[in-house]
Amino acid sequence: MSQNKMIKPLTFTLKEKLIQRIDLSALIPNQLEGKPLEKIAKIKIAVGNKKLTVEKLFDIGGEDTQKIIFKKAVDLFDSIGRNMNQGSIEVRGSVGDRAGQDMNGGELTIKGNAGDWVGTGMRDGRIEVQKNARKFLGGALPGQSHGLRGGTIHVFGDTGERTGDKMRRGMIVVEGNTADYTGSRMIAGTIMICGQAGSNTGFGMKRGTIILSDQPTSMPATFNECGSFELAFLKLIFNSLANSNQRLKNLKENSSWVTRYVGDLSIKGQGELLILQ
Amino acid sequence: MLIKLAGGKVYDPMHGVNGQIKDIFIRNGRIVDKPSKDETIHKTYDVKGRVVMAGGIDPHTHIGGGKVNIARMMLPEDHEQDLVSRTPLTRAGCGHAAPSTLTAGYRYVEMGYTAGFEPAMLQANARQAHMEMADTPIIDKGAYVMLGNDDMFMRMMAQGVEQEVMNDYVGWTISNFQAMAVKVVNPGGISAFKFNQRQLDLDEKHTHYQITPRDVLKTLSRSLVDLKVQHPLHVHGCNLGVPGNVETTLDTIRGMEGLPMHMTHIQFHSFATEGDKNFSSGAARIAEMVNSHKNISIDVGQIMFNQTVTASGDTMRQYAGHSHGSPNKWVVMDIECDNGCGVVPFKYTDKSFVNALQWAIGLETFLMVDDPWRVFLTTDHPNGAPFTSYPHLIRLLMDRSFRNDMLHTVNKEAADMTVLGSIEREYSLYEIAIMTRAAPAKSLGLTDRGQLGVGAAADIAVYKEIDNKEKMFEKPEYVFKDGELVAKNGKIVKVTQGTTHVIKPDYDKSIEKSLDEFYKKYHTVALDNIVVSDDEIIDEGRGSITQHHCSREDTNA
Repeated sequence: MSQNKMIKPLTFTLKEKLIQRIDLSALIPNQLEGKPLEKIAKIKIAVGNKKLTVEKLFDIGGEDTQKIIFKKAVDLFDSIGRNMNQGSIEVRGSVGDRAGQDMNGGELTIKGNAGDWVGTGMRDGRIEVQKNARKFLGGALPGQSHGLRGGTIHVFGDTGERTGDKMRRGMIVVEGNTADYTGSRMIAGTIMICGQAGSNTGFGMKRGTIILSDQPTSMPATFNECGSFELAFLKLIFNSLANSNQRLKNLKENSSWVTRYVGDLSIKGQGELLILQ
Repeated sequence: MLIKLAGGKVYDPMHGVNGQIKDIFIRNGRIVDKPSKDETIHKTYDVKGRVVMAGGIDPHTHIGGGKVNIARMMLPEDHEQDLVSRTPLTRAGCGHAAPSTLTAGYRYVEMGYTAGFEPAMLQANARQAHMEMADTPIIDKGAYVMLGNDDMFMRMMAQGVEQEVMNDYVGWTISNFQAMAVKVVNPGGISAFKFNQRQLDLDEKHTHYQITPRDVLKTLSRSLVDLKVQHPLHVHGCNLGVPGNVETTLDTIRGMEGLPMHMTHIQFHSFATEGDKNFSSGAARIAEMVNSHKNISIDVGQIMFNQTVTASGDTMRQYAGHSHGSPNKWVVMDIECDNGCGVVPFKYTDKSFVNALQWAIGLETFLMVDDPWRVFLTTDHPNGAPFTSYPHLIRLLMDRSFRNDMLHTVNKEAADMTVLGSIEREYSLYEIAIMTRAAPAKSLGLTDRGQLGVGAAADIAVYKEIDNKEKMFEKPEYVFKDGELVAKNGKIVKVTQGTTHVIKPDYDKSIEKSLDEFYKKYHTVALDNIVVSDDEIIDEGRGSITQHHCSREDTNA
């Protein structure tokens, strides 16, 4: 093990300014495992409508394929960490769309902003977005029946519309605000929003739980207020989040008294919005 | 331009050529006699030791029309996982179970097929179907128009109009929707579904029109005989997928009383109810019936263990089966009050008792029907499996030890219930050439396709002969379409545009008067606008029409 620690993470540093979008789904720990650097350098990556080798696009350093670092990342980096199921990827900079799509394990850390559809179809693992994310975080692609299916997505900043759209399982934590239609068409799972949620929060929710620190801008008329409760499970969630993440340690102080709204009655009506008091 | 294919082992069942070494000469897209010595041969392909067959013909493949499009729209995941990039020659596409039109055309050619027939074209969707087929490159195509559930037909049946009037309606439909044959799906059942009937047996009455599927089948089959249409009535029978439906299927065959009929995807109609799970194979009884009834031909609709999507006009049975769909989404809809459509994605797995037995039933049927001229190789693409699994299927039929190896990997209970392991038959290359080329061509009345005789169109596939038949049929060495080399070693080298095969039976045009009234009163589209003209298919030279004669001879029935 001590020897392993000496191995430097595999780093890809973008060489030149990109003009077109680039699909990085090939560079994930489970794909690169056991491959020599020369082979990795020859992997072809789609750039716009062309295919270029990794060595043309990136300076390659380090060798630990289970710990990948992208440097000078920009928001044209699509599908980063797609289908990964082990190891870790750290992105220094921003990423484009579909980061962590269909992820099944491992850890994806994005130090900048993320585009649309972060963690769509993800089953397991952890995604951390340290700035803001755009639309459909943990949401379903057009025509897909599920968004997030498991695992955790943690956003330090704000997210765009339809956060958690059609999500099925797992947890989304947003420290900032979310835009409109948060938790739309949600099937199950948990979303926690520490900031302010936009209008129509919970639209078309079947089941699932959205925990809000404030009243959202609006919610559909098909939600019913069910009174105030002290819910013991909230304490458990808060504690587990606070213990596992330094940034969320203040959650421990939250009270577990909430106002509970149940809906969306136009669908199955078993979802709940819990607004902390 | 004179082309010579020198020294190949030729399989041409239409002329009884079984593996003889022969040269084949091609001029202007046609196969010609050996030219005189002083003529220059412009290009010679050395095909010594190679197997030479006519291009494959798929008589039942859903490649165009409304429901394929619905399947495409419904399954973005199917497309996302199977992307095909553009090349300098071919265009981009996608899709495993429901490929895009372009990709379907390329893939057919890459495995040596040169024609495919869309078996379920609705009148209201005919234009869409033909446009999609026009977008399917290289291969020839054609369509079977659906009758037997449309309101006009049901009304005429209920009124008891004379056979001649019905013939006119059938003839009008074939001619005006540019069809090659007539298909009936769950006779009367799609219509009955809209009157809240959830099943309709062969002799069960439609609650509104008071007619039975048996009446529908006999009337339509009689019409096609009277109109001298070569391809017999293409029947998707009652009770698809219902355990015990083997009885219905046998009854249907008996009830035709000698009238010609093609029973399609018969695997789905061959379920008996023996055993603990009330589900068993009826293939032996079906095969026996088919063997003794020369008026019947079948195609199998073999299933393969894979993700696919079922797309059928049979709303009644698709509705009944929707709960088995995977992924869990489905569409069942009415089309212009005339017909139906149901799309349910399906994942067949070898661990499932039912799926494994279905797989075995299909193979049993193939192996127990004696006459390869009357059993065609299909998977009912995409309902049983995508057409790209044909090479695998051919290997299952040609290689007994491979088949038995596969049998050991499927659900044990199902494997114990099938006689597949004890069947020794192995198809020969000659028989494969019959069931994938000659027989469909003969059945459809394509006089110059599916064969390598002098005068025939030069649709030719050249295969390397290797023991692994799946590998052999996956990537032919050369594929010629109308005399032009279009694919080499499984890669497209030239993109051409195939023709659209149609028939135009004779009928009395005065039928249009009553049809016009009906369309004015009940339809959303006027009669003049719903029909598909020749010009639309020819599309200023982009497509073409090949009209075949209606001259069926065996009208003894």
